[in-house]
Amino acid sequence: MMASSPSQAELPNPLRQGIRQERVPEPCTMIIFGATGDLTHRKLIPALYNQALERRLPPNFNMVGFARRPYNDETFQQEALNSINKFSRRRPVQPAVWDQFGKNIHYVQSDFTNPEGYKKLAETLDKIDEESGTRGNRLFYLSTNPDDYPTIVQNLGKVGLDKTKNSNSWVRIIVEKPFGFDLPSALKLNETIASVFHENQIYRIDHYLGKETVQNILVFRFANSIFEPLWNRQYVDHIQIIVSEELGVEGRGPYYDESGAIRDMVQNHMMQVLSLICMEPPSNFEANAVRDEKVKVLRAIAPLTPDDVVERTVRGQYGPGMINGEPVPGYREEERVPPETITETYVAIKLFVDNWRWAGVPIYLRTGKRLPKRTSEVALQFKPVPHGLFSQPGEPPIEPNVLALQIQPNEGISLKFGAKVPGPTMNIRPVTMDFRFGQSFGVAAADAYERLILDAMLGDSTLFARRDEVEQAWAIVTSIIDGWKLHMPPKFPNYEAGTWGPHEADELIERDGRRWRRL
Amino acid sequence: MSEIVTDNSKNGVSKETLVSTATLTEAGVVDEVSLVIEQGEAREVSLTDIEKGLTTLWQSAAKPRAGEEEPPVSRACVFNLVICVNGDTQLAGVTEVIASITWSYPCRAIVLVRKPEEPTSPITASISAHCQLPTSTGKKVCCEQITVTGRGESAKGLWSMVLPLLVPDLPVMLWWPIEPPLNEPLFTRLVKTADRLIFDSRTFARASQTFARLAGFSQDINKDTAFSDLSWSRLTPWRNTLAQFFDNPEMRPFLHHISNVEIHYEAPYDDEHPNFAEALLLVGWLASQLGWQPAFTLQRKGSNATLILNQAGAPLTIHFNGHNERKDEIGGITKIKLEAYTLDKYHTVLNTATFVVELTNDFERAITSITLDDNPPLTGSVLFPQRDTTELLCEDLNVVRRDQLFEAALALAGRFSH
Repeated sequence: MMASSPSQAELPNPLRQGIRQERVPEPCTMIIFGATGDLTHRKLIPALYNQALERRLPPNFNMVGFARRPYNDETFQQEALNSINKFSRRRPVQPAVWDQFGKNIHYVQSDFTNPEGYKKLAETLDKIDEESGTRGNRLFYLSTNPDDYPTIVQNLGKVGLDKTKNSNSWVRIIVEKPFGFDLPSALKLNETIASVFHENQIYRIDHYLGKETVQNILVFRFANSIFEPLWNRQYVDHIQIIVSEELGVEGRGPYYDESGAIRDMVQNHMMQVLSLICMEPPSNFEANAVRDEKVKVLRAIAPLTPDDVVERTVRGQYGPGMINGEPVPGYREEERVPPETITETYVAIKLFVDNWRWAGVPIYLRTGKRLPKRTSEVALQFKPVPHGLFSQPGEPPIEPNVLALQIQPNEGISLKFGAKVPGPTMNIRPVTMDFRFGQSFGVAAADAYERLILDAMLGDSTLFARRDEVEQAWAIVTSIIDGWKLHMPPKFPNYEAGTWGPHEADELIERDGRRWRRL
Repeated sequence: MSEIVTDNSKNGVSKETLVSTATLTEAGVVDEVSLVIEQGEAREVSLTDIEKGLTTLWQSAAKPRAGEEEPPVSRACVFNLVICVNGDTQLAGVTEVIASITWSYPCRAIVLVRKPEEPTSPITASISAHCQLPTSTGKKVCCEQITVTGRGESAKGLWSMVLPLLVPDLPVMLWWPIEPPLNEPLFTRLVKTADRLIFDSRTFARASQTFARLAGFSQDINKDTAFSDLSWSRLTPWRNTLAQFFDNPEMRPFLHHISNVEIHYEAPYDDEHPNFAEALLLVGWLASQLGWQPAFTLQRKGSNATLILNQAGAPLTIHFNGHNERKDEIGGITKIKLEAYTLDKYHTVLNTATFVVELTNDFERAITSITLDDNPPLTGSVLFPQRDTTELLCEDLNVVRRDQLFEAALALAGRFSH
């Protein structure tokens, strides 16, 4: 084992400076709990492989799978190879890369409650450190059922795996969503994890933050001088955030029925996007500086009172309809979904950020399943021009400017403005200026997990949710869930699959004299 | 950034000429996909890959060719144009129109083709592009057409293809080149998503009844949708010429005492299904502007008809006379004659006047005449350019707002049969 004294470690490596590919983490081992699960196969293993292919992984990178299924190193390696060949965006596997990557994959078979399994894990990790020089750098990844998180964390603590081996090494843990089920359970989960790991070791992953456009919100706002002056209540009329899917629950019926649209989308992805859109400029791009500003936004959103919930939220559930010309069943007819369920598959919410910048600017969120298309966008609609120079009395005003940031499926930015239609009359028509990442850079964007896992290895937690962010987002969402409990649910189903949600959601925004964007 | 290019040259005049395949292939840098763009050829795609297919199409077209700095084509889009047709012949017709409007109105065209009489099979889709001659910047302006076909029962599900394919934030123009099936969900659903519905009342079998239904639609559930009619655009020169008679203030008193109106129009040879739509719409417009109200319902005899209206308490008769002169302009107006008078303070007739606008035999111009009392007529001549569907459509696409005058005319024309 290569030992190094603290004084040596503090010395900078002059050879590292200025090398183009700077972001290579130190040698380390990633341990995945729930290694045989869907997320591991679809996302985590392909993400690690793609990073290996791009030479972003440290040379002696090791991966350990920890799960109940009776695999061994060889069978698990074979599973990993299958995952890459099936799900990697750079499939099929390149033998030269796989030879190096595959042989460093290990498997520990154990029940999550069995202390022996963790001892075995500790031994395996020590052996890897010995053989590969990973120096005790460990990244745990919780990708199990969230009910198992406390057991795993506590058992890790019992065998001392939460502690660093020496002052130069690091131990971090990535926690997959959902972080709790409501505010009390989130507090409890955070408490449990905090009893073993320090907050700076905890990386709560929200893959939305790994998407290029989400990161680009910050670049767009703070690397350009022309937009930020308009980014406030003086010029912005309202903001719309949408996350829509044309998919139904796709066999995840029991999970989805417990969570619903608000827990599945609003508490995490939408609140994260909202806070990036509304935050103040941080003093630097350091993790806590950015997250301090994000959490300030969430703190400025007052939880909703039961009356607010009636006025400012709409729940929906899809009935049978058509998607892409094919008839699809309603939510209650989906596999393993209770036929009388009142779980929402759609939600529209109006929120306010009560601070100097945003007072009085409504932020409309809507998300749902079985909507006409999959899209995820944020749009700032600007105030109309103060004086209608070009519109006749009685005619509708000229369409306002809209700045739309598209997060998926096509990452891009578009700005809508009015232009004169050529001809002798003053006819004004909205046109858009579009910027598409795919077309301008010609590089396929990496999967969000690739970026985030790498960040965790590098110790950069900027794009991970901090404890207070998660709790604050839950406080808002829980106030809505609690409000709903006090009222009779609407008559479900209340929207047809393949349409843009219930009629009441249109009323929610039209009452304010505004409309949902056409997407 | 995609460049929005518009040009005020005459619509569709500078239509595309395609660079020959041979030249491009010799350059050795053009792949199959960009040729698809240049040639406007339709390519089958799977339903879930329509957007992806378009992205690939444009990405490869946007690559500069060897020896050139700028990409040869520029994708542009100023609105969504949704069109519903029956069968391949109508598809070919609208495809031609789409190609010719690209120049002034680059758009994303989504064409729904219904083939309800064919055996049911899953919906299919194809994509193609329409390009116009290079602009001054040397770039071709191109826009895209998505054709979605529903056979048998699948035709009913075509509506669900539209919402996912719309380009966000841009207006949706719904053009129904055939008579819209007012009772079908396909129609009612599409109208709800449209900013403007464009139809052609010449296609209506029972014009007045359909006008009534459409007027109801526009005031009721679809108050956000503007309605327009290609026939209304055809009436523009007629309305303009009639209005010109009364630009002279001395003529205006006659407007309050019209005694007789004659409208001549082209009727089919068999007189079976005379199409009054345009004539009715013109009367609807006159009635809404001059305050006439329906008194008795329209009485039809073959291709002739009479309508009695109430003009400030006095009856006013409108005669519709069908002729068979031009096969290609069935429903088109050929002549309008207004007879009017003025009264003195004792309510006796002071002056009489006759105003006539009549198309000449070459259909290029119209002769106007005003006859005051027994004086010889004052005649004039105005250009009446004949416009094809593309030009009429472009006139409607130009307007984004609701046309209040048209809607009032439509509402009144809808009441003539009740």
